[in-house]
Amino acid sequence: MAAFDDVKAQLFKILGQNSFGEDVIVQRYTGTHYARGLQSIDEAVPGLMTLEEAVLEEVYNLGMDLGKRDPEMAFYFFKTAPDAIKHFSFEDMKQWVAMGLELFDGYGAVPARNFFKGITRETIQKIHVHGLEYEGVARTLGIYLDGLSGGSLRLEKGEESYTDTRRVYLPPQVDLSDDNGLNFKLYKVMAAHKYAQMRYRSFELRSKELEELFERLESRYGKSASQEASTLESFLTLFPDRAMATDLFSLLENARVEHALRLEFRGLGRDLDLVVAMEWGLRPNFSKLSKREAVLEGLMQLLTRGTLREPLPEDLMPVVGRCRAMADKVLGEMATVEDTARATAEIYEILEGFDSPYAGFQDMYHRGVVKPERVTAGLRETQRELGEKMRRLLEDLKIKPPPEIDSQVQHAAGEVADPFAHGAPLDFLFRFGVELPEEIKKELLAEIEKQLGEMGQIDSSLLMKVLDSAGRKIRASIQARVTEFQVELTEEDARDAILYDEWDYKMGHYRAAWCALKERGMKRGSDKFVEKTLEKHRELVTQVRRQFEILRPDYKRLFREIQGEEIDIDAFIEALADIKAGTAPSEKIYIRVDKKERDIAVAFLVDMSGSTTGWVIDTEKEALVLMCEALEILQDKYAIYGFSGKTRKQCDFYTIKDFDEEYTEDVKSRIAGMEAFDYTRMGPPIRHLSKILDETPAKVKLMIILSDGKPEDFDEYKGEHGVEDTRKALIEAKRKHIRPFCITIDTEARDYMPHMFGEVSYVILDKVEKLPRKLPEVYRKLTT
Amino acid sequence: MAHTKLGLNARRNGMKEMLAGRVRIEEYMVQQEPYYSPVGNEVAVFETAYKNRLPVMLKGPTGCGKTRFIQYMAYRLKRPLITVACHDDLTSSDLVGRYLVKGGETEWVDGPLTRAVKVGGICYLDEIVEARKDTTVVIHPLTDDRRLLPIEKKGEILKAPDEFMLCISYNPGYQSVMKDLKHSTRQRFVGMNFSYPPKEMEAEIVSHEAQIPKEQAVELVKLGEKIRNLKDKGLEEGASTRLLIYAGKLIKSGIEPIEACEIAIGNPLTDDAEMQKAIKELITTVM
Repeated sequence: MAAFDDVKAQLFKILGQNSFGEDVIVQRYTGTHYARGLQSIDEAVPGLMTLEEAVLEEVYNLGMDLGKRDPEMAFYFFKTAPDAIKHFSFEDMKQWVAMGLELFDGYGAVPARNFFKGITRETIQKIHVHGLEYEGVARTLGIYLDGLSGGSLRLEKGEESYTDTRRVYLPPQVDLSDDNGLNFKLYKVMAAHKYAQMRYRSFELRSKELEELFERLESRYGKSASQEASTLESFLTLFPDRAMATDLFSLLENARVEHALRLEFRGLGRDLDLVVAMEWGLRPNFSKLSKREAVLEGLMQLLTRGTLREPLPEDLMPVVGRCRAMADKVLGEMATVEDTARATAEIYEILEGFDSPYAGFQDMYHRGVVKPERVTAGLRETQRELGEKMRRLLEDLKIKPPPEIDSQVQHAAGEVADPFAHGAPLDFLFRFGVELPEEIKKELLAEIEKQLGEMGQIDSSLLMKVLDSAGRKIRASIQARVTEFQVELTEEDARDAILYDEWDYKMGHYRAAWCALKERGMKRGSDKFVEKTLEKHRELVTQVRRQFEILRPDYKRLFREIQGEEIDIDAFIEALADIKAGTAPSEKIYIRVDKKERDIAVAFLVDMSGSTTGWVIDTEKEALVLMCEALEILQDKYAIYGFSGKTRKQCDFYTIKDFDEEYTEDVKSRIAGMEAFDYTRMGPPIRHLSKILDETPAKVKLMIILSDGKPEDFDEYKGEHGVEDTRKALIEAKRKHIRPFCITIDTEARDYMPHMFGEVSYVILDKVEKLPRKLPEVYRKLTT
Repeated sequence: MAHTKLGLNARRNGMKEMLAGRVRIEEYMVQQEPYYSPVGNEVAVFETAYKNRLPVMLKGPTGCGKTRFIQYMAYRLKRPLITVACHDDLTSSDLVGRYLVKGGETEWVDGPLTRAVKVGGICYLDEIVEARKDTTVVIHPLTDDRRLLPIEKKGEILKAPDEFMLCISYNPGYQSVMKDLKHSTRQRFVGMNFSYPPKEMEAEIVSHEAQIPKEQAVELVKLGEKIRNLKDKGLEEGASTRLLIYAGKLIKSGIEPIEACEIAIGNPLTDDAEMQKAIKELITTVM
């Protein structure tokens, strides 16, 4: 231990003075006080004296760096350092110092001094974040998961790694290794493992195949299966020690799933090996485990690597061997989750034979955990959606949905948590007691066949996709019901309004002068909005500007022109040959250098219906700001309009920017002022905008519609009627050589978009956040 | 500019040689049966269209087998096949023909379209939307029941024999307003839709074309399928059968499968770094 005087001398050498701070006089209502602010460097010495020589040396070194900037800051560092050592490794100490220096450089001496006066919880948390964070990998892994699952699983951040059959949750950070490349592999394997659980159907046990097992377990342990929960959950509840049964089940199921995964995706085997090797050293020693825990650990190790990390205690070896033999059935090529359930019951019996405590078993980290309740909830959600889709389909077919579906939709109670409880999977679709028309059945079966390629086995997420895409086709071939409800248009309503026809698809003709459209001005909003948006998307703005710079009209040599600066040799020779041959030559023999003009007029039509309130309209506005930036560079003619309204009496058309208006402060504040109003009657504004575009001279005319859903109004303008009228309005626009294009965030839009806009004239965004990036991109693609 | 011009000349020279009759009609014939596995009834449909002298438009994503199908049909129907890859400098005389000066004399040389009409072959205009709109108009009289090709410069009109057939191909995935097929053009064709073949068949094709074992082809197709899942989720087009075959060929020639897939599939598809990384992870998952 260092002597007091030595330490003090060293500190003085580094800090160059004996005391810091100053004594102050404080005025309080009780009188004048003398507050002691002066601190002697002596105060730092006793703490430092407790440190080992080597550590002390390093602390001096760190303090020297600080002392050069500000001795007082260094002094506080020395005072706090002994405490910090208790929390931090030496690497962490360095980071702690670096954080303080950053503060000093960025904000000056005072906050930096305060920073070193003590260690807060925030500091500790900040320093302890190592490795890879979820946010950094979310997009890549999201795409990866999309690719694997075909979009049926969504990635989300959770406290640990698990799935509820609809979403895959991954932990906020992974820091098993110092190498973030390995940490990424771990993240990837976690995601792949969750996909595998879905692909190989880990959660949807078929109770029909397990009847015998259930009976056996019920009579053995005297508990009865729950009618409320999913088959998985009620299976696990049959055991006296549910926690142990769950652990055992997941251990075996993980082995099965990982085995299958390795067989099907050979490349993943490499990553799995890597990750397993990384975690192998972290497994607990058998000596620290109870007998039951040790058996599970041993079994897991054998199943994972075929070998044990360390020898098992003598008495356990044969037991683990027996368990391993029983687990063989989950490794077969055709092994199913039902096999796992059977093996679970058998091995559970063996474990029962031990009179030992059981505190729990943690499988390898990359395998995450199984949360039976979350699975049940997830399956219920899927069930409810399936029921709803089924009902919608039946309604469209004009078949009265049986009450069963309603009970399923309303609260998904009772036995429906397991779609396959009643027999063969295909029966699910047909078990509602309604006879579906033969062709519909055929369509559904064909779709199942198709989807089987994606997800290996029939489960509810597959059925969901089936109902989606088959339903779409079926719906397209039939006519949906429309609620009859019309509103009178009075003379009052028609005053100062422009009247537009509306298409009645059932009658096959136009209803003349049906809708009253009024042009309205947009109120001004905060002028800060545009600035804030540009600030928020700074990187994107730069990127968009650069991309559009490239598109800027460029000089181009035009061949075969009537006049020009140069002679087009090819054309000239051809003309000579023509003369020789005795025919009339072309006069177009020049090359003209010209600016290739982009003669484009684009109008944006923004859906300002009530459903866009908040997030959606704000994002639409941000996207518009970015678009304006881009268009100012290109100098294409552009205009921005919004629409909303309520019934045919009141179709509001808001002008945010006209074609012949500059991008002024006024326009900016009008963009900021856009807000959500009522309904989405799309026909009239499209017709009105077509008229405006028709009167605007340009070679190429574009109408880009930003929308968040189907055309829908308060009256009969919904369903088929709305879609058909909108479609008609778009056809009218196309006849005027206007090219309509729609960007929508309605994920159901695939149902009607192809019909309404045409196969290639729309884009569906799954998340509204993507709009500011996507809008300029779409425009760029449309016009090059 | 200079090199474009040079390229243009080189191309024209090449064509002049071809046009100067140095390539005989037999050489347009597809000599060996091209490898093609029918997905549905497209062969019968095409033959019916041919019998009825209807022009055909092939629609489908890039690299799904449109060109190969035409070659196969030309072989089956035993007609010469003349393919023109369209581009935006293609003029109508490039298609119909022009006078050339040769040692003080002028000589008329037929363009590929004229030649195809004369020999009663199949003229295939690949990626028709790339051609200038005024160029596409010359095919109009050929595509209705008149089946005529006016050669303005010579003051002639050719009547196409029954054996002649016009085909165009077109990728509807393009969303550009600048490159859309005019309705007056599009309504002169019967349309046949193409898409990527079902996976067993695609594996068969990849295995055959790249000369790799079936198991390896199955993996490539599995990868293709996973990447196609990303269409509309950041990728404009999924991995085409052609790219899968390229990857197969690289593997066949000894390049490591993972690297081969990155070179042939991952890199061409996208420039987005995160997307590329995700595709790379899919590759290392499957391969």
